[in-house]
Amino acid sequence: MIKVENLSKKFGEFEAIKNLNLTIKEGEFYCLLGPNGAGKTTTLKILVGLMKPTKGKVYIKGLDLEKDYLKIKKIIGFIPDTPFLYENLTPYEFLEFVGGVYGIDREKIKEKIEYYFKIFRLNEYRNSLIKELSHGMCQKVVYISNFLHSPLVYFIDEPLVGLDPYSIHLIKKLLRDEVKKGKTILMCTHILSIAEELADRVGILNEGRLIAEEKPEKLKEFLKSKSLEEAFLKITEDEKNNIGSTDFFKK
Amino acid sequence: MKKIILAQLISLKNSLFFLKKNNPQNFSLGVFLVIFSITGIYLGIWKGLAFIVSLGSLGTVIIKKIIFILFFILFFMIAISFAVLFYGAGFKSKETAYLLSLPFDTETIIFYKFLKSMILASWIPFLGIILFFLSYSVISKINLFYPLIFSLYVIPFLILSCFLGYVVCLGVLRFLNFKKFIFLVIFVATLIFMIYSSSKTSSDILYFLSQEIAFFKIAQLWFLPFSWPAYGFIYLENKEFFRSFIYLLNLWSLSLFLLASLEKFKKAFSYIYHYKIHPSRKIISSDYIKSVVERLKIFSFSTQQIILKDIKLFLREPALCLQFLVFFGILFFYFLNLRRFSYHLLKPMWRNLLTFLNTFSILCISSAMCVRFIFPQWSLEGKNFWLLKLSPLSLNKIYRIKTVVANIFLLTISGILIFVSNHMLNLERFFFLTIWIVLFSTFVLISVSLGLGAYFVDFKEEHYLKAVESVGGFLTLVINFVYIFLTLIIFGSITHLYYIDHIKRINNLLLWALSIWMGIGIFFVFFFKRKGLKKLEEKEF
Repeated sequence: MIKVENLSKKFGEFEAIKNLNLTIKEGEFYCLLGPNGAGKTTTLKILVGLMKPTKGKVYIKGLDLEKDYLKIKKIIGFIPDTPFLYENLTPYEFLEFVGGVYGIDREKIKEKIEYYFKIFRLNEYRNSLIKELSHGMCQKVVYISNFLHSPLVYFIDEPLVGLDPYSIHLIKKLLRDEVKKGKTILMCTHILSIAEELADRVGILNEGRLIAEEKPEKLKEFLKSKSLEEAFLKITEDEKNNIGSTDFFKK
Repeated sequence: MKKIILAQLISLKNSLFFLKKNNPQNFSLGVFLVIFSITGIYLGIWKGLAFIVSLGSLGTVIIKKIIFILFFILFFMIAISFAVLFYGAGFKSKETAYLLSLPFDTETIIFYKFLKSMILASWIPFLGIILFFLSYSVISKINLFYPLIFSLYVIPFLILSCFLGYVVCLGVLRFLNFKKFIFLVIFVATLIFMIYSSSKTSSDILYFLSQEIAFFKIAQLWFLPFSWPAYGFIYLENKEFFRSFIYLLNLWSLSLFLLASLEKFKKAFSYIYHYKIHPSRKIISSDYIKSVVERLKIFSFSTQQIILKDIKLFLREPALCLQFLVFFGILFFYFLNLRRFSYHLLKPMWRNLLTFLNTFSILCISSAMCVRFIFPQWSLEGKNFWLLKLSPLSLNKIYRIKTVVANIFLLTISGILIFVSNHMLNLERFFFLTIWIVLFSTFVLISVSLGLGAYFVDFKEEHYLKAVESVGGFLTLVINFVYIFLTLIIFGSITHLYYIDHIKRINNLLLWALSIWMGIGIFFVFFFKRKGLKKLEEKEF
């Protein structure tokens, strides 16, 4: 579903992503992990077209991101870590706007908004301006705006920032359901327990390079670690001491 | 205070350094465009003043009036601009919340915000004033040192104007709600109308210039501060240094007194910040807008939603609405003056000149609206632009939607303005020609503003008006004026030559001129659209 070939991104002299290759299958839940500044958000932004790569190719459902961007936009959804929304609209108006832009039928939009408002417990905020909502509430609005047009591929950056335990539980469930329906999810996160719980496969990005890629269980087994957190620390520490990535992939 | 300013200067230095380092081409282009614009403005003012001086003694009188009018209009324009900027920088900016959390006293924060808003509101007028007096000094062969000394008069004038804006901003936020504001506007409008209701007419252009137009009368009142720089300069020009110095002293003493009084408004500032701006408030119901937009069946559902979003965001941004209302207040004043114009008593040559002067005024209004409301349309999307960029609509389509909406609003306003003003002047010739000139020019000005707005887009800016006051906004203003001057030179000179009997037949010539002028306009439309769209597509988030 997602194929990344030799992707590089430079900001002036600084190379944020170095020759990244990635393949994610349809219906797979893939987690990209890495320390701060590893290039996770940059990778995600390139994959959704918010940034241009310096080098390399990206294919989503066989479509070339560069040439078929408009077609790709119809099948992807993006949930950023900081939800910038139109602050002077109400959540209802905002979702109506998103639904309209994606060409969803008026009645269908209404029906879906009502459903998600109910399960996300947003009903009492439907007529407040977005600028009056907390970060977590805004995050919920962004999730609903994505579920509204039901994309084939979800790109999620730090999925659970600012959310309460009920919403975290709900979102995990909804995301699992989406994967069951055959949707693909690429998620970037610092929270390793979430990755461990949800991901089919994880990739570890460090200093712009993919230094490891495996199923969470296998990764733990390979690195003789009790948890993904321990495995992550081991592998990034090895990388720091220059004995990491290539060794891992060779083995 | 020093530390805050130092941090701002370092931030500015870093931005320029990174722009120069990462985008040397854009940096060079920016520098070139600024130099080009300054030269263009200088030459434009020089050309206009040279024409007026060539009219002889009448020209000298007109120039003196222009100097007074310039300061009169700038005083209120800067005040309005400052009020809106201070609202954004002082109350809406996240920086204020951060500064309040640091060990600074409120007075320091108010002073810093005042200074910041003042620089943003007045750097373009300051540059314009200096260029104006430089051109005037060259034409009138006055010592070129005078315009430089004159900047000493301009700085306190700017402080006074900004202080008025400061008081207006705090007063409106503290005491007025929307309902009270509307009542106040109606009251002021009726009062002005009553003052103007007795009318006099005269065919003497000098009498007309000195007495009939209220603008001129008020602009010259010696006891009001907006006339002081003009008097100061005139006395300086006449080498009456002592009298000029008295005005300078007046300006500085009052402005410093008011600056020292800024802290007196500390309580009002804190009250507004904590109790008026930040607590949650009810939203404006806009279901009627929704029902109107959804009836526009010529637009697809997705287009309707974008239009609806833009209208709602416009109506819910108080700074935009307030400016729009003030704009109409100024228009009201303009039409009241026009009503008293003894146009039909003037000679045909003067009538023609005034016809195109009126067209020029309407085009200036269109241009000002474009710079204020159309140029920042992209920057207004702000950090939310990722939503539009990721939506399944092409940027080209979003651009087209914004163009259509802007044209619907501004063509209606400018069309009504030119039609009504032509009608009030009882225009016999060129009634429809001037209407077409205004409509087509407005279309071009919108495209230029939208294109340059996209080219100089700044999604990181917290308040949209900072985009208007940026280099991009300034360039848009300059390019709009270049186009307006070009339009007036083409049509004004052809008709002028006809009225002074240098041309016998005018129709064919006008047709040719119209075709060439429209060709240039269409080139402008496509050129700026292409540039803007390309920049938007390259933009990273």
